[in-house]
Amino acid sequence: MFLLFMSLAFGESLITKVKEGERAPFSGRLFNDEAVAVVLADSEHAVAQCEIRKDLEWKTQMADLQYQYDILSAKHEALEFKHDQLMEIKDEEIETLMSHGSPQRTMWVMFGGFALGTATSLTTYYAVNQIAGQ
Amino acid sequence: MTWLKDKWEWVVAGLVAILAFVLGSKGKNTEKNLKNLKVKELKIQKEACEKELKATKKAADKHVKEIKRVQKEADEKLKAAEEEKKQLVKHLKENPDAIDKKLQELGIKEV
Repeated sequence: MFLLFMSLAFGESLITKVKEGERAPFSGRLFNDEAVAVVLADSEHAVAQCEIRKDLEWKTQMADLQYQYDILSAKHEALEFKHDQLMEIKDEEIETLMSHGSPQRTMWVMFGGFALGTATSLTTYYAVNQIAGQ
Repeated sequence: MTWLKDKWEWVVAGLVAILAFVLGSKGKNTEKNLKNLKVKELKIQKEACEKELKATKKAADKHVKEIKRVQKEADEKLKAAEEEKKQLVKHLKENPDAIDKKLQELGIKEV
Protein backbone atom coordinates (compact mmCIF):
# COMPACT_ATOMS: atom_id res chain seq x y z
CA MET A 1 0.00 0.00 0.00
CA PHE A 2 2.90 2.31 0.89
CA LEU A 3 4.50 1.60 -2.51
CA LEU A 4 1.24 2.40 -4.23
CA PHE A 5 0.94 5.76 -2.45
CA MET A 6 4.58 6.61 -3.18
CA SER A 7 4.16 5.76 -6.87
CA LEU A 8 0.97 7.76 -7.10
CA ALA A 9 2.69 10.70 -5.45
CA PHE A 10 5.51 10.69 -8.04
CA GLY A 11 3.18 10.15 -11.03
CA GLU A 12 4.89 6.96 -12.17
CA SER A 13 3.47 4.60 -14.82
CA LEU A 14 1.64 1.92 -12.91
CA ILE A 15 -0.28 -1.18 -13.62
CA THR A 16 -2.17 -3.58 -11.42
CA LYS A 17 -4.20 -6.69 -11.96
CA VAL A 18 -7.87 -6.47 -11.00
CA LYS A 19 -10.58 -9.04 -11.24
CA GLU A 20 -14.13 -8.33 -12.25
CA GLY A 21 -16.02 -6.72 -9.39
CA GLU A 22 -12.84 -5.63 -7.53
CA ARG A 23 -12.21 -1.99 -6.75
CA ALA A 24 -9.42 -0.30 -8.72
CA PRO A 25 -6.55 0.89 -6.43
CA PHE A 26 -6.00 4.10 -8.38
CA SER A 27 -7.66 6.25 -11.03
CA GLY A 28 -6.84 5.55 -14.64
CA ARG A 29 -7.90 3.52 -17.65
CA LEU A 30 -8.77 -0.12 -17.44
CA PHE A 31 -7.57 -2.21 -20.37
CA ASN A 32 -8.37 -5.84 -20.85
CA ASP A 33 -5.55 -8.18 -21.98
CA GLU A 34 -6.62 -7.92 -25.62
CA ALA A 35 -6.38 -4.13 -25.59
CA VAL A 36 -3.00 -4.19 -23.87
CA ALA A 37 -1.79 -6.78 -26.41
CA VAL A 38 -2.81 -4.47 -29.27
CA VAL A 39 -1.12 -1.44 -27.69
CA LEU A 40 2.11 -3.35 -27.09
CA ALA A 41 2.13 -4.95 -30.54
CA ASP A 42 1.36 -1.59 -32.17
CA SER A 43 4.26 0.01 -30.41
CA GLU A 44 6.66 -2.71 -31.57
CA HIS A 45 5.20 -2.61 -35.06
CA ALA A 46 5.68 1.16 -35.25
CA VAL A 47 9.40 0.72 -34.54
CA ALA A 48 9.72 -2.01 -37.18
CA GLN A 49 7.78 0.11 -39.68
CA CYS A 50 10.04 3.07 -39.01
CA GLU A 51 13.13 0.93 -39.62
CA ILE A 52 11.70 -0.36 -42.90
CA ARG A 53 10.81 3.15 -44.10
CA LYS A 54 14.23 4.43 -43.12
CA ASP A 55 15.84 1.58 -45.04
CA LEU A 56 13.63 2.32 -48.06
CA GLU A 57 14.54 6.00 -47.98
CA TRP A 58 18.23 5.20 -47.72
CA LYS A 59 18.12 2.71 -50.58
CA THR A 60 16.11 5.11 -52.75
CA GLN A 61 18.66 7.84 -52.17
CA MET A 62 21.49 5.44 -52.97
CA ALA A 63 19.71 4.45 -56.20
CA ASP A 64 19.25 8.13 -57.12
CA LEU A 65 22.91 8.85 -56.50
CA GLN A 66 23.93 5.78 -58.47
CA TYR A 67 21.73 7.02 -61.32
CA GLN A 68 23.36 10.44 -61.26
CA TYR A 69 26.76 8.77 -61.21
CA ASP A 70 25.83 6.55 -64.16
CA ILE A 71 24.62 9.56 -66.15
CA LEU A 72 27.81 11.48 -65.46
CA SER A 73 29.87 8.40 -66.24
CA ALA A 74 28.05 8.01 -69.59
CA LYS A 75 28.71 11.67 -70.38
CA HIS A 76 32.35 11.32 -69.38
CA GLU A 77 32.84 8.23 -71.52
CA ALA A 78 31.19 9.88 -74.53
CA LEU A 79 33.29 13.01 -74.10
CA GLU A 80 36.46 11.00 -73.71
CA PHE A 81 35.67 9.05 -76.87
CA LYS A 82 34.86 12.27 -78.75
CA HIS A 83 37.98 13.98 -77.47
CA ASP A 84 40.30 11.12 -78.46
CA GLN A 85 38.79 10.79 -81.91
CA LEU A 86 38.69 14.53 -82.56
CA MET A 87 42.30 14.87 -81.48
CA GLU A 88 43.28 12.27 -84.07
CA ILE A 89 41.29 14.12 -86.73
CA LYS A 90 42.78 17.46 -85.76
CA ASP A 91 46.26 15.97 -85.97
CA GLU A 92 45.46 14.68 -89.45
CA GLU A 93 44.04 18.09 -90.37
CA ILE A 94 47.16 19.84 -89.15
CA GLU A 95 49.31 17.39 -91.07
CA THR A 96 47.30 17.96 -94.26
CA LEU A 97 47.46 21.72 -93.91
CA MET A 98 51.17 21.61 -93.13
CA SER A 99 51.87 19.49 -96.20
CA HIS A 100 49.80 21.86 -98.31
CA GLY A 101 51.31 25.07 -97.16
CA SER A 102 54.39 24.53 -95.07
CA PRO A 103 56.55 27.67 -94.55
CA GLN A 104 59.48 26.01 -96.39
CA ARG A 105 57.28 25.26 -99.41
CA THR A 106 55.90 28.78 -99.40
CA MET A 107 59.44 30.11 -99.55
CA TRP A 108 60.24 27.92 -102.56
CA VAL A 109 57.02 28.99 -104.27
CA MET A 110 57.97 32.62 -103.70
CA PHE A 111 61.45 32.17 -105.14
CA GLY A 112 60.06 30.07 -107.96
CA GLY A 113 57.51 32.76 -108.78
CA PHE A 114 60.19 35.43 -108.69
CA ALA A 115 62.45 33.40 -110.99
CA LEU A 116 59.60 32.61 -113.35
CA GLY A 117 58.54 36.27 -113.48
CA THR A 118 62.10 37.39 -114.17
CA ALA A 119 62.51 34.76 -116.88
CA THR A 120 59.23 35.78 -118.48
CA SER A 121 60.22 39.45 -118.45
CA LEU A 122 63.59 38.73 -119.99
CA THR A 123 62.08 36.46 -122.61
CA THR A 124 59.51 39.09 -123.49
CA TYR A 125 62.24 41.72 -123.69
CA TYR A 126 64.26 39.42 -125.94
CA ALA A 127 61.23 38.65 -128.13
CA VAL A 128 60.37 42.34 -128.50
CA ASN A 129 63.98 43.14 -129.42
CA GLN A 130 63.96 40.38 -131.98
CA ILE A 131 60.71 41.65 -133.52
CA ALA A 132 62.03 45.24 -133.57
CA GLY A 133 65.28 44.02 -135.20
CA GLN A 134 63.40 42.41 -138.08
CA MET B 1 65.20 24.44 -132.17
CA THR B 2 63.74 26.58 -134.92
CA TRP B 3 60.34 25.15 -134.10
CA LEU B 4 60.88 26.01 -130.44
CA LYS B 5 61.85 29.55 -131.45
CA ASP B 6 58.77 29.86 -133.62
CA LYS B 7 56.33 28.41 -131.13
CA TRP B 8 57.94 29.51 -127.85
CA GLU B 9 54.76 31.35 -126.81
CA TRP B 10 52.79 28.13 -127.03
CA VAL B 11 55.46 26.21 -125.17
CA VAL B 12 55.52 28.76 -122.35
CA ALA B 13 51.72 28.86 -122.26
CA GLY B 14 51.64 25.06 -122.12
CA LEU B 15 54.16 24.91 -119.29
CA VAL B 16 52.25 27.56 -117.33
CA ALA B 17 49.02 25.63 -117.90
CA ILE B 18 50.64 22.38 -116.68
CA LEU B 19 52.03 24.17 -113.62
CA ALA B 20 48.62 25.69 -112.86
CA PHE B 21 46.98 22.30 -113.27
CA VAL B 22 49.48 20.60 -110.95
CA LEU B 23 49.11 23.29 -108.29
CA GLY B 24 45.34 23.29 -108.66
CA SER B 25 45.03 19.52 -108.40
CA LYS B 26 47.18 19.53 -105.29
CA GLY B 27 44.95 22.19 -103.73
CA LYS B 28 41.92 20.21 -104.73
CA ASN B 29 43.32 17.10 -103.02
CA THR B 30 43.89 19.07 -99.86
CA GLU B 31 40.35 20.43 -100.00
CA LYS B 32 39.07 16.91 -100.49
CA ASN B 33 41.09 15.65 -97.54
CA LEU B 34 39.82 18.47 -95.33
CA LYS B 35 36.26 17.79 -96.42
CA ASN B 36 36.68 14.10 -95.60
CA LEU B 37 38.07 14.97 -92.20
CA LYS B 38 35.10 17.27 -91.53
CA VAL B 39 32.70 14.48 -92.48
CA LYS B 40 34.60 12.12 -90.19
CA GLU B 41 34.40 14.70 -87.39
CA LEU B 42 30.64 15.02 -87.77
CA LYS B 43 30.30 11.24 -87.80
CA ILE B 44 32.29 10.98 -84.57
CA GLN B 45 30.19 13.66 -82.91
CA LYS B 46 27.05 11.79 -83.90
CA GLU B 47 28.53 8.52 -82.67
CA ALA B 48 29.47 10.10 -79.33
CA CYS B 49 25.94 11.47 -78.94
CA GLU B 50 24.46 8.07 -79.71
CA LYS B 51 26.82 6.43 -77.24
CA GLU B 52 25.83 8.89 -74.53
CA LEU B 53 22.14 8.46 -75.28
CA LYS B 54 22.40 4.69 -75.17
CA ALA B 55 24.30 4.74 -71.86
CA THR B 56 21.81 7.26 -70.42
CA LYS B 57 18.87 5.07 -71.41
CA LYS B 58 20.60 2.06 -69.89
CA ALA B 59 21.21 4.00 -66.65
CA ALA B 60 17.57 5.14 -66.56
CA ASP B 61 16.31 1.60 -67.06
CA LYS B 62 18.63 0.37 -64.34
CA HIS B 63 17.44 3.11 -62.01
CA VAL B 64 13.75 2.36 -62.59
CA LYS B 65 14.41 -1.34 -62.05
CA GLU B 66 16.32 -0.64 -58.82
CA ILE B 67 13.62 1.70 -57.47
CA LYS B 68 10.95 -0.91 -58.23
CA ARG B 69 13.02 -3.60 -56.54
CA VAL B 70 13.62 -1.49 -53.44
CA GLN B 71 9.94 -0.54 -53.25
CA LYS B 72 8.87 -4.16 -53.64
CA GLU B 73 11.34 -5.23 -50.95
CA ALA B 74 9.98 -2.58 -48.58
CA ASP B 75 6.37 -3.60 -49.31
CA GLU B 76 7.21 -7.21 -48.55
CA LYS B 77 8.95 -6.22 -45.31
CA LEU B 78 5.97 -4.09 -44.29
CA LYS B 79 3.61 -6.96 -44.99
CA ALA B 80 5.83 -9.29 -42.96
CA ALA B 81 5.90 -6.75 -40.11
CA GLU B 82 2.10 -6.51 -40.22
CA GLU B 83 1.90 -10.28 -40.04
CA GLU B 84 4.37 -10.32 -37.14
CA LYS B 85 2.23 -7.76 -35.34
CA LYS B 86 -0.86 -9.93 -35.74
CA GLN B 87 1.07 -12.93 -34.44
CA LEU B 88 2.33 -10.90 -31.49
CA VAL B 89 -1.19 -9.70 -30.63
CA LYS B 90 -2.40 -13.32 -30.77
CA HIS B 91 0.56 -14.51 -28.65
CA LEU B 92 0.05 -11.78 -26.05
CA LYS B 93 -3.69 -12.42 -25.85
CA GLU B 94 -3.00 -16.07 -25.18
CA ASN B 95 -0.15 -15.45 -22.70
CA PRO B 96 -0.95 -12.80 -20.04
CA ASP B 97 2.51 -13.46 -18.51
CA ALA B 98 4.07 -12.27 -21.73
CA ILE B 99 2.05 -9.04 -21.41
CA ASP B 100 3.40 -8.54 -17.89
CA LYS B 101 6.94 -9.14 -19.11
CA LYS B 102 6.55 -6.62 -21.94
CA LEU B 103 5.09 -4.03 -19.57
CA GLN B 104 8.02 -4.55 -17.22
CA GLU B 105 10.39 -4.09 -20.15
CA LEU B 106 8.68 -0.78 -20.85
CA GLY B 107 9.32 0.27 -17.25
CA ILE B 108 5.71 0.16 -16.10
CA LYS B 109 5.63 -1.02 -12.49
CA GLU B 110 3.10 -3.49 -11.31
CA VAL B 111 1.72 -2.66 -7.86
